[in-house]
Amino acid sequence: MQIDKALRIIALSLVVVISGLSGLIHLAQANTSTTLNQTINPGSLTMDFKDNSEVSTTTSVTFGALAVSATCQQTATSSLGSATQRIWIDNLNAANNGWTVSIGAATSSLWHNVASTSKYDFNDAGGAGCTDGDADTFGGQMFIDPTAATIATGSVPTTMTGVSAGAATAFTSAASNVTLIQAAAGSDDIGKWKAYGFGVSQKIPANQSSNAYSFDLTVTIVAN
Amino acid sequence: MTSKKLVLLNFSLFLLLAQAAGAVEYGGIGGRPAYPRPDNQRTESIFIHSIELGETKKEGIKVLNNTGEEKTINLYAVDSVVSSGGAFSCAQLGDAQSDVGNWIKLTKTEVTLKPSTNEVVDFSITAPANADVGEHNGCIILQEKKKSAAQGSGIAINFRTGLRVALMVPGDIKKNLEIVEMKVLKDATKITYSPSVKNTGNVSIDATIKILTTNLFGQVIVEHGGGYPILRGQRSDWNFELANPYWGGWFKSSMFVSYDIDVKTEIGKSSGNIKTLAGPAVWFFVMPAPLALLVELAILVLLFTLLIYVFVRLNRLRVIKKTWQLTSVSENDDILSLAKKYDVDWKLIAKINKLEAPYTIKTGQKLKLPPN
Repeated sequence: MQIDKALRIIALSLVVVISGLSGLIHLAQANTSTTLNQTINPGSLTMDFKDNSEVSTTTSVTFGALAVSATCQQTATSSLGSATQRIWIDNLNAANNGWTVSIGAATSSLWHNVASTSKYDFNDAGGAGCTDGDADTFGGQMFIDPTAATIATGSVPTTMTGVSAGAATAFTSAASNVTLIQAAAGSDDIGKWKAYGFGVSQKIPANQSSNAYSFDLTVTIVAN
Repeated sequence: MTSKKLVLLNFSLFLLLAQAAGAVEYGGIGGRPAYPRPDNQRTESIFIHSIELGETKKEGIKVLNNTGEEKTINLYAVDSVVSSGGAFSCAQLGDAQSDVGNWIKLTKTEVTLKPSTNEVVDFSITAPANADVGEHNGCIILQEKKKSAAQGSGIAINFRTGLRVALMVPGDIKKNLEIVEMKVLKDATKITYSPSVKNTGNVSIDATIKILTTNLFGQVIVEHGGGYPILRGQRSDWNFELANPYWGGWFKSSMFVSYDIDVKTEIGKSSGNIKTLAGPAVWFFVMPAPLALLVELAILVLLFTLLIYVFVRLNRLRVIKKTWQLTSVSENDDILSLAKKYDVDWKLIAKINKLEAPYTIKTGQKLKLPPN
């Protein structure tokens, strides 16, 4: 009798435990059928200056100090971007026929000191960049060399198909934009690229006064 | 779901997961047309309209903030400008706008967007009554509102994104391209192909440029090119690079340009009526790499030596055939004694007389042997 009773208790316990487990399994199954919602925002064509961790950062192009010279022999050279600070381009299905990255300055821009009392030009071809030959009264010319840049894919499976550097070009009064990178229609519609090391040089006119000069350039990306 | 959408979904999920790891910005700020037309896929990337003189069109731009921070974005319309090489670009804010930049009126010039949000900004485009027939281009610019980095000297760099606005004023539309030239420039490390094409019409043309480089045997070793817009009245130049072929040699590069000549076909569509222009072919020689040059010289020397060897052997056989005479083998002669007697290698006697091992010869057998 004692054994029968013990067996009945064990059997009842098993029924309870199995029922409980069954309920838990059903609950789990019910949970797996929960609908997951994920919103994917539409992509865009964007460009920014970022470090290697892809954190946005500000940038400038700095030149080494030069001495005042009585002759127009000096060319300040530098480059846009470095191996640790690059231009990043994202095309998230927003430019399906290629895109262009160009650099330009406002047509009335000039290199200037803080007080704007001393200036020189960036787009004057007069005297090979040494003398004034355009509408303003200042000499000086800037030269951009995209062929010196390193352009690479920024992610897998992006490819370099159809992506090429522009030609080395000097700013003139008739050419205020220089093409840095061009992507053909056959380039990846979804992809990420990074670039740095665009050559920048500036011809300094003779007798330019000693000062710290600054200038603004705008890099534009546009879908073709 | 198309493969493109799957790739975009995977890419977005990857970015989403990566974004949780730190303050990394993916996607940035940008925009796209708010009301793309289903009949023209290109309207998902740029604004395309046919607009009569004096007509006003309504449009909208979807401004996106796909970063992890709130952003204030400035919007403004500008004319298009031609960048170096004939590429499309956008005028500066401070420039005088006399074309499309002046035809566009935005309902907002500044929007502030929370992370991962977007907003549609409507605008209108009105073509003036005196606009020229043909295509007019401009841009709507999106630029984050932020102070320029403080600097004492040097160049401050600002970034912006433009959306092209292509407007067609109907009338006498002309579509025509001309090949200007094809240059092949060489330096120590690479070959640069520089084709130039001029658009002599009054609308932009989406052209396909193809440069085929073949070797001396006519095999295509590389193909360059792609599809590019060539703006009205402009000359476009490109630079395609090829690392100097390691083994060097003579090559020929030929240029081809294809475009749709149907004047009624708008940007982004194709009528199938394609015209192909063939440009000049350029022959050029590339020096092999130093090691390749050594290997090639070694192979040449080897081939030359082999050639001389074969020539000598053939000449010897010719002389033998001409001078050796059929002679009867005497008693007690064998191939070794004959070789000694005529002062030649016994193997040569065996070869000329097609004797096989064990090279036994019989008395009276006729053999070709050197003259006495």
